[in-house]
Amino acid sequence: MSPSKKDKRRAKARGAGGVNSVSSTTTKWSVAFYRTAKDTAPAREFLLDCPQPVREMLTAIVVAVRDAPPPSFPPSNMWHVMHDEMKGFYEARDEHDGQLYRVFCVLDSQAPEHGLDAKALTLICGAAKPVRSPMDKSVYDEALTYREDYLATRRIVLPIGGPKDPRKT
Amino acid sequence: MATDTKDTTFTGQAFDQFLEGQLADPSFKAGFEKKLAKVKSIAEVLQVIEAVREQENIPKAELARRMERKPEAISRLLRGEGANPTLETLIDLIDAIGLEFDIRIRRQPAKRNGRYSPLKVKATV
Repeated sequence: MSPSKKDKRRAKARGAGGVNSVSSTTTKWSVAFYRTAKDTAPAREFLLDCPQPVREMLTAIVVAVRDAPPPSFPPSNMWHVMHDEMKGFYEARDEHDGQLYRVFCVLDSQAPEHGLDAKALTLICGAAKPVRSPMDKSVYDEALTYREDYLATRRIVLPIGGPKDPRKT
Repeated sequence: MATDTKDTTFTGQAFDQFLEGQLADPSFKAGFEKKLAKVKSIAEVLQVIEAVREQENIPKAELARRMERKPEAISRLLRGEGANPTLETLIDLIDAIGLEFDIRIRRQPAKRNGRYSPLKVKATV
């Protein structure tokens, strides 16, 4: 039996740095917050509303994924590859006090071709639900709408006092 | 702020500012750094296991046969879906891949910095 094409792709992506080399790919990834046309940042607002231990964990997951550039960071209970209608999304997850907190993310390797200066781990939005209960469909619908808007505009939260958005959105 | 939580790109600056603001709270900083160390350690374990599986060209179906599990269960396990794997499952997994864990249990150092993780990973494969 031979490894699947997907396995070969992932092995190639890890490069020749050895299997114990976490950051084997060198291309820089950055974390960005998606910004809506109304100038809101749903993922940032969600994180700020989370209990502090959850905010600590979700932020730590995002930083860890950024530092071990995709596809190096392995999927797990904390970094999940989504399927079906949410295919193309990843999510950072944390359980706390019977609630599952989820931040929906896009790994945007095309970002540099659309005006950003690094590949972007873009935090789109977030939601919480009781553990082992279905997520309300409206949450997914909203995430899909936000992603569509993000991919069409690459609109992200700008740094306070930092450089202006070169695309002047 | 610790350097490895900071980005240098325009794209990442707003997140950096968000994180800097959070890290200004000492209790957040302590919790964040502890969790970051743990997340990175767990990820490294999973990454080494998966990288060796790929290097050794062991398909998931073969892994399932060696572990006497259903292929779907192995796929879920390697995708990180479902419940956290038990220690027994992890032992079965590394055995099926031809690896071994070297687990040493000892007391934690009296003085620990913010990046301390009780799980230390040193892969020699």
